Amino acid sequence: MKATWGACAAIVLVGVSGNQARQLADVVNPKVQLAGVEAHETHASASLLGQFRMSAATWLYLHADLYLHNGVEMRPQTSTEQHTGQQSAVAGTSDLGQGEGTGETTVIPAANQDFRGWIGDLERACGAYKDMRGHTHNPPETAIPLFRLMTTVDPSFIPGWTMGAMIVARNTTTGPQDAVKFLKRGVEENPTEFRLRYETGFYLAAYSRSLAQAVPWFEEARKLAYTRHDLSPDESDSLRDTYRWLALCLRDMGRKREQQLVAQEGIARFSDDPVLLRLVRNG
Amino acid sequence: MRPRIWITLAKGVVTESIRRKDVWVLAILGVVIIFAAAALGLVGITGLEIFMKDLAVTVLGAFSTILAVLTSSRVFPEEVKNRTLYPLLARPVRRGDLLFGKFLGAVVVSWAGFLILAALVSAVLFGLHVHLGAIAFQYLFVKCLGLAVVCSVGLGLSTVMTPAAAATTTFILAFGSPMLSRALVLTAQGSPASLPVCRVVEAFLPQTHLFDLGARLVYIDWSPVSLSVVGGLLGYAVVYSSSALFGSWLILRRRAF
Repeated sequence: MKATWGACAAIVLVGVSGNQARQLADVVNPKVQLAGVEAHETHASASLLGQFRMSAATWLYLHADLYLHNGVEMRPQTSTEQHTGQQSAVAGTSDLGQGEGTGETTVIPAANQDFRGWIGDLERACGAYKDMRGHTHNPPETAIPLFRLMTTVDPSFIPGWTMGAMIVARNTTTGPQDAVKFLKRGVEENPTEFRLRYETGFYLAAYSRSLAQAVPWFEEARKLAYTRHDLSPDESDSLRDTYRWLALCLRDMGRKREQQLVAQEGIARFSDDPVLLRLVRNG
Repeated sequence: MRPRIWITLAKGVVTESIRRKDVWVLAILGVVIIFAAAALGLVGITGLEIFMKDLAVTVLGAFSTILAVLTSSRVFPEEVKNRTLYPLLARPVRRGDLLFGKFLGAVVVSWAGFLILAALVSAVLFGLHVHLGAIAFQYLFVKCLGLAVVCSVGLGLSTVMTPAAAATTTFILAFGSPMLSRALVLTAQGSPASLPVCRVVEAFLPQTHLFDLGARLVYIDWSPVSLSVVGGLLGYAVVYSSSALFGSWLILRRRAF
């Protein structure tokens, strides 16, 4: 009897503490990285939870491609496949346009590239295999919930926000506005992340043609990235595009002097970029 | 006469499995699955039906394979370790009967575990209004064939290795089957001279990934596979399992206990 009461009390205690745990969210998982020691450095449980969130989000991200291809698993072609000129199972075109899937092939090999004979035939018949030349995709809405889930599981997973926005933007006629809304939530969760600001500006400028609304986002992205010199290749590409789009927007808005300053600042970091060079010369 | 011996031996494996509380492990796993699904249900699964099915099939495939490997790789060494093998061999039970009876037992335990988990997962999915379709029955049947192949490999290896080594090797072969197969295809493409070797290795490797219709079950608009394909899989499972058991019998008949 005592044990039952003890168990009930423990359950109630866990429930109450769980209810209060939300108040600690900002301390345990601050939206802005702290300069000092963080929870994951001192608490193994926090580190484990972080690892789990990251792994779960990455797993979901990898599955998003499968969802769009209706389960057909793809891989990059090997150098041997490219050198021997074997036909890519994708052949470089799809409903996403020329280039999507270039240099990719299906994980389950096509019959003409498979030495296994009837075992290969069985695998092609049992697995999710089809000829992906000129392939189409499942409607994006099949993958959107996955991106929402992965960004909920790990809000600091930036590819989830950026790729999710791309998928959301393709969805309907209101796609670009929805993509901006989606990215704004990402910005709230990651206030110091410049890529999400760039992406927000990109959808406003490229899809909605709202240059005046896009410029502040590009400006903020530029400011956040200005002092950073440890950029990854992806981040570097985003920063280069930030300079390009910001300069182009300013040019179209007639703000030539600012455009020159931005383009020159961009050239200082990306000296061989043809777009920025042209903007400086023609400005 | 022989079928009776096989059934008796298989019953022994099933009883041992119940005694070792393998069913409890399944029950706990089932509860974990239900709680996880219920948690997702609280968040709302609108649009996540494919994800739910994907998760269910992954869990089913992984747990049932683990159960098959652990059961099959320990049944024979335990008889030796506990010295219960000697009274068995003192009776009119041939070594081949012993091997086949143990194999049958391991298969029954694996299938029972798999079907219990499948029932649990289906109930959870049904509760979340996620429907599986007719291909689910084909998935269950084909997966059962695959588990039989895994059991034959686990049991076969346990006659020449320690239980731990046999289980580890079977895990690698069962879970790494698609990866090993891809590696062989790429090796043959990159170096045509290695093709004969690749063919031999491919023939010996258990192709357990062939028995996974999970992707067709999870994603939309995939039709069930034709009967000839199911027949091919059945043939492969019978031939491969028989070969594995025959190889084990050849080793076992020369072995002195």
